[in-house]
Amino acid sequence: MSEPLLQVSNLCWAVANKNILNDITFNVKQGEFIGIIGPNGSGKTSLLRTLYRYTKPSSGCITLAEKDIWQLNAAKAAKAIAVVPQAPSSLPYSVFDVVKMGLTPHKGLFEPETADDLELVSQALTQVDLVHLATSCFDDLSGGEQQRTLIARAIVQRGQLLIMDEPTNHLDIHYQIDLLNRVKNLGETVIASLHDLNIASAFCDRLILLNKGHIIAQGTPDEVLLPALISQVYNVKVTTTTHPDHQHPHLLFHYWEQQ
Amino acid sequence: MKSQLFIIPGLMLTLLVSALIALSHGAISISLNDVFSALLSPFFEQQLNPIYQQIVLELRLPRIILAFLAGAGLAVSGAILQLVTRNPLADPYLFGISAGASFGAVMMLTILNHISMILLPAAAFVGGLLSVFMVVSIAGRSAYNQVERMLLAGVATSFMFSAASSAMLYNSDPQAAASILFWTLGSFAQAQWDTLLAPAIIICSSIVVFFAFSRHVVAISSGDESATTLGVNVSRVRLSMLIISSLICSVIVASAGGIAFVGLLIPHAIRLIFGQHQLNNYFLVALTGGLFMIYIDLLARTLIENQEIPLGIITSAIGSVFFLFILKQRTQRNH
Repeated sequence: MSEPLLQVSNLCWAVANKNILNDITFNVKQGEFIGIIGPNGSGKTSLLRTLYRYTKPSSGCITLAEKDIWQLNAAKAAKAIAVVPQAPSSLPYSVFDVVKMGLTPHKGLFEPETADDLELVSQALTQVDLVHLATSCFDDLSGGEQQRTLIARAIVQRGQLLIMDEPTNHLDIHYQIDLLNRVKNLGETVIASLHDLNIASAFCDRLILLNKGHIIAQGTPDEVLLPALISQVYNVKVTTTTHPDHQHPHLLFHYWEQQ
Repeated sequence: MKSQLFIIPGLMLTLLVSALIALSHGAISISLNDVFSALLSPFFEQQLNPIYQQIVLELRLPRIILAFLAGAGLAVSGAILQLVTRNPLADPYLFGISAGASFGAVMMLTILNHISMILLPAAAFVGGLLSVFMVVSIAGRSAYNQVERMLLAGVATSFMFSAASSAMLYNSDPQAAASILFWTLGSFAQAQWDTLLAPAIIICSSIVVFFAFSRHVVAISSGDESATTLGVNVSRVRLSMLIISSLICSVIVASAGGIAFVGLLIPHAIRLIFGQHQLNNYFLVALTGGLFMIYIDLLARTLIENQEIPLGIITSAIGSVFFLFILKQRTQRNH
């Protein structure tokens, strides 16, 4: 078995003496789809930010393909790690121009775009079915189309690892399923933070459950989505059944005190 | 998309025509025929009144070129600063540059009691850079909240230099105060061929640097976090862009005084006319700014007979009305 693609060991991050992330350790293998789950404020976004080098951890080590990502320069790191951020509030550029931003780490200061680069952008747009909206303004798109645009940008960025911060936020259920199917079909190594535990169960190979900055559990959906664990971490009443399609847990939440 | 191909050639043609109009109008009107003869006189023998030749070649042409350079430089640095701070109000003067430059000029006029055509611009240039140095050192290298720190440091620096300038002016003779007032309102009247070199070199090379960093600037305009994930060193690029913009503005303030509102106005006009995505087409921004300034200067020279109106008065008057107009349109669209 080869070395894992991403190794996170003993990662801690503190702001103003408050520990946001505590002793986070996990590995990600090539081609895996990892879901980061946990209640609000559990540290999902903070963890992802340390992985894509937006915030520097207080201690601990993150290596990608055996290289410490904090030793790389910004452009090298961006060539290795592509990110689909939470959709920005406003981005007054055309879809084509937003997708083209994915070329940024690959280009030198005076280097013009080549025909190959533009071909890459067109292919990415085809992959997310947005060719017909290429000249539309990003701000005018629906939430699902904006997310697909940012995924196309990440495709153009060509990282070894794709990080997505709550990609299904604000999308209705059809677009949530559509989006994650598209991502899954890319065959990339993916780390995504997810709110919906049933979606996480259906799409992820492994889950990492965070609470108050600690990893509470990690493993396959069957190992992590245990009723006792989920009800304790999320403070809800929950039972599970096996989903008929994918044979992984399906969570049923109880909304009222049972009689 | 296709119509955009014609924008730049169209603007260049307009620029050429505008330059000819500006050359022929002024305190004395010179016919286009004579303007052409004057322009060709260094190369071919021409039959022309030598005074006309003098006016066109030695007075109006350098003046028009300086106006173009100043407009282009202010517009481009305004556009860059609006993009990297994601603040539609960002303008080089917001970062204390004109206050610093005025401070340098006032120092020269009151303390040394010296009005020199070489020393005054130099003092203004140094004053402008001093204020930027202060803003940059306060803003620091961390990207977190950097924009807020830059803006607040700029405002504070402006007030500090203004206070120092006012104190010095208050204690000086009225004549110095009057010449400082005229200088701070801006004028291209001092333009000469040999004073064009420094602004031309600084502005043109800065635009080349802006083009080199164009992808980075666009990435930053989409958000600090997003730009970081695209491999952009956000805080370093933003500070570099501020320093280069300040260099442009210091050299313009030094050679033509403080010309308000242009750095703010032109980027907004570009947004309105051509769309936000053209804001990082620095060639287009520079051409538009330069064109605008040529006409402002023409107005300054011709609006009142035998008298020049300071540029700052015209740009501020047009700028403020334009902004109220935009604001009104926006509020109407949102309700």
